[in-house]
Formats: sequence, C-alpha cells, structure tokens
Amino acid sequence: MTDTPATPIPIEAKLAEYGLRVGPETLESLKGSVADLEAAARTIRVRRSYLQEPVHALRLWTK
Amino acid sequence: MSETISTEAFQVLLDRAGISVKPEHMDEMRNAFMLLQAMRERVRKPRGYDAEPAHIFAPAGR
Amino acid sequence: MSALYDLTIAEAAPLLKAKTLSPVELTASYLSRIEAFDGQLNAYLRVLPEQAMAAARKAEGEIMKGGYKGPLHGVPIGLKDIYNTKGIATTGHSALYKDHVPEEDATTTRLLAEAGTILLGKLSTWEFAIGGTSFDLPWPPAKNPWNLAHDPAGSSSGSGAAIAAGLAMGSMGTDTGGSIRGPAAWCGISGLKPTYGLVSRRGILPLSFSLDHGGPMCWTSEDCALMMDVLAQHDPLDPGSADVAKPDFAGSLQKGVKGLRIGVVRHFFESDAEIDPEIKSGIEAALVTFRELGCGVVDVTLSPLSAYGDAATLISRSEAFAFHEETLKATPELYGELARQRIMMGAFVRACDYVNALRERGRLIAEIATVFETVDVLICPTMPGVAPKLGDLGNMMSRSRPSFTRVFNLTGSPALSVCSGFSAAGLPLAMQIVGRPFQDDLVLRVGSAFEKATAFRDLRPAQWAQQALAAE
Repeated sequence: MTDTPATPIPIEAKLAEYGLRVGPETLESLKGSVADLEAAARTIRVRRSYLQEPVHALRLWTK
Repeated sequence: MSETISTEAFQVLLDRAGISVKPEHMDEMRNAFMLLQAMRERVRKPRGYDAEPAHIFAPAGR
Repeated sequence: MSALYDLTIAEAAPLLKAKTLSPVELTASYLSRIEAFDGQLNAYLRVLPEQAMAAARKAEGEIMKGGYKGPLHGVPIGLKDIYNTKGIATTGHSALYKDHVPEEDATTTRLLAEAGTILLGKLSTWEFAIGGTSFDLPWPPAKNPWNLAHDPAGSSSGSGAAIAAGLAMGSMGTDTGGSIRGPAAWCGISGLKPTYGLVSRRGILPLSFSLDHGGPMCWTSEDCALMMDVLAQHDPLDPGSADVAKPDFAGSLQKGVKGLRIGVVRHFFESDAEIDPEIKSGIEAALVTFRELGCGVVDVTLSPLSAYGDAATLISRSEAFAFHEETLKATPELYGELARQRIMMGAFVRACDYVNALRERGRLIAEIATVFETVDVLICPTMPGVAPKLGDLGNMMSRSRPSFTRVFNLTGSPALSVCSGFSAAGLPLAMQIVGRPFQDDLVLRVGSAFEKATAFRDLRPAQWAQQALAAE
C-alpha cells in the first residue's frame, strides 16, 4: 500500500496554503490532531473493489 | 490570484500527493492546475446553511 | 430489402419474430463485416465469434419453438469494454486491466443477455472512459466511419463507430461528461444518457460514481427506446438506482410531439461559448422542423455554462482520483499518458471544494427544475464543432473548450444526442434533447419524431456502404 505524503509538509505550510492562522499555543495541539487525522486517512486508504460505492448518492426520485 | 504556479511550488503539491509527472508534461499539468484553482475559487461562494449537497445518504429501505 | 447491416433494430425485430430473418444469418453477417472492415476502424477490442454464433443458434432455437422474447431477441450488439462480462476480459482499454476477467456480468450485460441479444464483442473506449484519443495503449484508438482520418469522439468511441459503420445494431456506452453523446454526435447516431439512477451502474468500471451513466447508442432514437425497455430496471446493488415505475419507452414514441413546449438554451451557444456556425445552422433548421411538427419553441435561461463545468469538473476529478489513487501511484506506467494526467488532477481538489461543488450541484438541479415548469424539453448543441482529425483533440482541460454535455451529468437529466444534419465536409452535426428526470421516454419521443421528419437517417457513411457493396 502506498502512502502519502512522500515529502512531509510542515503544518505551518499547510495552514498558510488554506489561509488559516493560529497562535503558537494552538499549534502544538493542532499537530496532535493532524497526526490523528492522517492516521484516520491511512486507515481509510485501503484496497477496495470498484464495486464498493459511496453510500451518498444523487437521488432525483422519491418513493 | 496569480496567473501561474511555479514549478517548485507545484512540485511540492505533487510530492504531497505522492504522484510523479514527467518533466515534459510539467507545464501542461501546471496550466491545468491553475484552471482547477480557478474553478475552486468560483465554486467557493457565499451560501446559506440550507444549501445542502446534492448527494443524499439514504438508509437502506428508504 | 435493405442490406442486413442497414436494418435498424425496429426493422429487424418483426422479421426475427416472424422467422423470416434468422439470428444466425444476421449474426454471421455482422461477424463477416467486422472481419472485413474493423481492421481499419478499430471499433472492437475483442470480437467473440464462437460465443456470438452459439448465442445466435440458441436464440434461433428459442424463436423457432415459439419462445420469442421481444424486440431485442436475436439482435447483435456490442458493449463498451468497461461493462463487466463474466469470464471475458473487461479491460477499460488499459494495460492496467488487461487481464481483468470479471466473475460476474454487469447488471446491464445480464439484462441484455436475458432479452436475447447476441454479444458480438467488446468495444474500444478512451482508457477508463477518460483518457482521450490515445496512441500509447495496448490497442489503437477507434476511428470515425464518416472519415477515417477523423476522431469518433469518446469516451464510448468504439460504441459510436461500430453503430455508424454497421458493425453492430446496438451498443452500450457510458457517459460521465458526454461520453455517450459526444461519440453519438460525431458518428451521426442516436445516443441516450438516461436519467441518473434509471440504468444500473453495477459492474461498469467506475470513473466518477455520481456522474457516471450507462446508456444505449443506436442508429435511431426508436432503437434506443427498444434498448431502454430492457435496460431500465431498479437494481438494489447500485446505491444510486431509482426504484421508480418504468415508462413504456417504445410505446411512448407513438404519441407524437404536437403541442410540446421546447426550450432553447440559446445563451449556451450564443454568448457562453463559441460554436461552429454549421452546428448552429443545424439547430436553427431543427427548430423549424419542430415548429412544423406543432411544437412551441421559446428561449430559456439557465446559469452560465461555466457554472456547470466548474462543479462537474471538481466532482468528477475528485471521484476519479479516489478510485485510481492507489494504482496511479503504484503503477503509473500502466496508464496511458492522457488518462494519467487527467485523473491526477483530482489530487488537487480539497474536501471542502468537493463538498461545495455538491452544494452548487444542488442549486443547479433546483434551477433546471424551475425551468422545466415552463417547457417540456430543452435543446442545445451536443458538441461545439464537428469531428476534428484523429489526434487533434487537446490533452487537458481548457476554458476555451466548453462542454454542453457535462451540464446534464451534473443535473442527472435525461439527454439524447441526435444527428441534425451534415457539414459541408460530410461530417455529422448534432443536437441534444434534454428532459425532466425520468422522462427519458419523452426525450426519445422527441428525438424519434425529429428523425422521422427529416432524412438524416437515410444516409450511411458512404465509404462503408461502397466497400460493403463491393464485398458482396
């Protein structure tokens, strides 16, 4: 299983990309949250059959 | 918004996504990226909280 | 009688039912035509002669014993090679899936087989239905039967080319941004992108889950209606499948179009985007025809074309990348250059952009529903121009190349492309007819009425007719 990122991007750079600003006191706890989120993404990023579809669907009909 | 993205900055995005692009395709990919950026900006506009996504989660049997 | 390959499904069905035309004879005729001509056209990736002849003999036996199943019984068809076929490779025209042999049929494959169709083979496609006209894949791209130097469009390129060239009576395409309607337009045939949810996507290789549609491509809209009578079935295995009453597609064609209100989305092609004057002339002439048939014609206004393109592109690239990310990173060399580049762009769409695109999608669906309170169908171009030379299509996204078809993938509306004439160079012109959700029968009725009121269905690609005559 491949994984991202190939090159770790500093959290400061990610925040800047999104135009978000946080104080130094927030940054440390945010780093922990980001690590959790990345771990969650790794869990999700598993090999799936193309038959496994998202459960959210465009629904133009009513029963 | 800037008209283009530098090769260096784009390489950072590619690295983060974990994908590689051949040098000869770099300019075309950067141009396409800027078009995509423009689309993102146009779609990002004020909406009321009642503007829900079109996709619906329908529990089984509903 | 016309040559067998000139028969439409609607013309062949009564002959098959009356046992005056044999499915074996019909299938053999198509197989010999494929053998003779497909080397130049590349419509097929894989021809299945033994299987097709066995199915034809089975159909013949059933019909002879009084077991006629309906208008598709004994009809030779082809499937775009992203429709799963049990025990038969389904490649997506890609080296990545070269050895992918599904264990079960797509729901649509099964429904068509149960209706008695004869599968002639698997048809070429843009790689994974996105890659564009590519020359770096294990198989060559299909060509346009009206002029072999030109592009048949995609992604259902083989499906369009095979029908126009008389190498199948019906075919299945898929459409995520115009991939049924584009090839239908440039190959001069009829192609329906049904309402989202009306035709099962189960077992069709996905490109973008929420924008993908499977649908029929035939010489006439009447034939598409006969295909839809079989294809429109609720499928619990497809989360987007609609559990709705099925219209009588073929029966609806008899109702005529007098009194229908046609809305022309004129700003799409007069101010939002530039189109070839011949395409515009074709549409203006078609509107005259519709007025003569008793329809009312008015101009309507929707959001600018770009609003649809933006939301649809963000959604389609995100969903495609989600499906391809792993293999794109692990084995990029197994993709052609165009597919690789196009799918990669999805890496740069953020989750919030995707969700906001879905919110914009909701707004645009509501907007078009309001317009449909005042008209019964919409008309606009299918493609901005006629078929360019093979290989001349651009590689990547372009603001200067707007899409008139992607609009209706986003709204999920039924959208049909029909031939609206020919350019001075002899290449097909086309227009789209678009309806309210689940009024696909009405869309086909309007398309069929137009085809019967004009002579464009009488003209087949000349070089193929001449070569075929010489071969007989």
